[in-house]
Amino acid sequence: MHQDGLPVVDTFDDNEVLYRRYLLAHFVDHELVPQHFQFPRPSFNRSKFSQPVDVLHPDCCDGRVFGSGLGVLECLASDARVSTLSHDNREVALHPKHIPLPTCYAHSELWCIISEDGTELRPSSTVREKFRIKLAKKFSERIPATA
Amino acid sequence: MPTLEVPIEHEEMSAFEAVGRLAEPSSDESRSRLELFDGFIQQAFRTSEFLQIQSRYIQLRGSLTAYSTLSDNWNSYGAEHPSPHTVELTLRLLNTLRHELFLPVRVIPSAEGGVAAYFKADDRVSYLEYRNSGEVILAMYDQDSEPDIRELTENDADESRAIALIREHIRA
Repeated sequence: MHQDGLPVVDTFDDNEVLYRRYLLAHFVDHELVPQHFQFPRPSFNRSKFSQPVDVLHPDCCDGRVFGSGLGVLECLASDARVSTLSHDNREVALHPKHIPLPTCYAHSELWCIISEDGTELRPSSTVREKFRIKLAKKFSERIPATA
Repeated sequence: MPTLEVPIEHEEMSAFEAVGRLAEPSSDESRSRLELFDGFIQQAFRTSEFLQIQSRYIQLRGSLTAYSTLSDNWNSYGAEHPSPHTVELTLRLLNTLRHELFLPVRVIPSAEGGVAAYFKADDRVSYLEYRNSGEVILAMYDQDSEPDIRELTENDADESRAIALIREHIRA
């Protein structure tokens, strides 16, 4: 779904789902590994404006066509709001943001914010690693990847 | 280093006896001897931690070789390919661990750019991730507790420290 002038929708319903492509190399014993994620601002598609399979469509892959080998992960937007403490003992959390792309209206990102005031923060290596681990525990297979 | 022991049942022909009788085999005899040796080898493989470690080491090296050929954007989200240096560091780690009979279950390319050696036993997970940026991250966690993260360096002392911590966490 192209953006075509449609507005940003800031709110995510708690039952809304986030989708993301994955490779088989990032599953061990049927569990997603933290090595799947990169920071800052990992990308997702939101279910309010897309279907799971859309995340594999060239419109949401910078025009690239990917063959077999990719699957789709899913996670409730509310579950993706994981948090931890920064080195100065402030609570930091991941927060979904709708960032539409011209050819992928559903495109969204998870921003690291300070819980108290919502300011975006560039996470330290330790905080980033904790987020990768916590996020990996929340995501599950929606469309299995093939070898 | 553990020795390779092949238990010999009293009722069975020993490997040494079988070798002695290989001189003039008929085709049936040779087949049965081959089957006998195949059985010995498979039994040795099942019972030898050393052989299993060697086999896994070969698999992990193969994975590393494959990761060294990845291009940028290999994960479709813009990840850098693992640098040759991170592949070398991971290989150095595998070589050390092979001699300690303690290998990771997998080596995994990281979306942050680099390679991780990933250890898992039941719900206890640990990994040592070498990044293209020069960062070295050790993580230890289980299903419930807050992850324990250590930022290390590439030097030998930190590698030894990481191995000790991983072993302690995984075998706790």
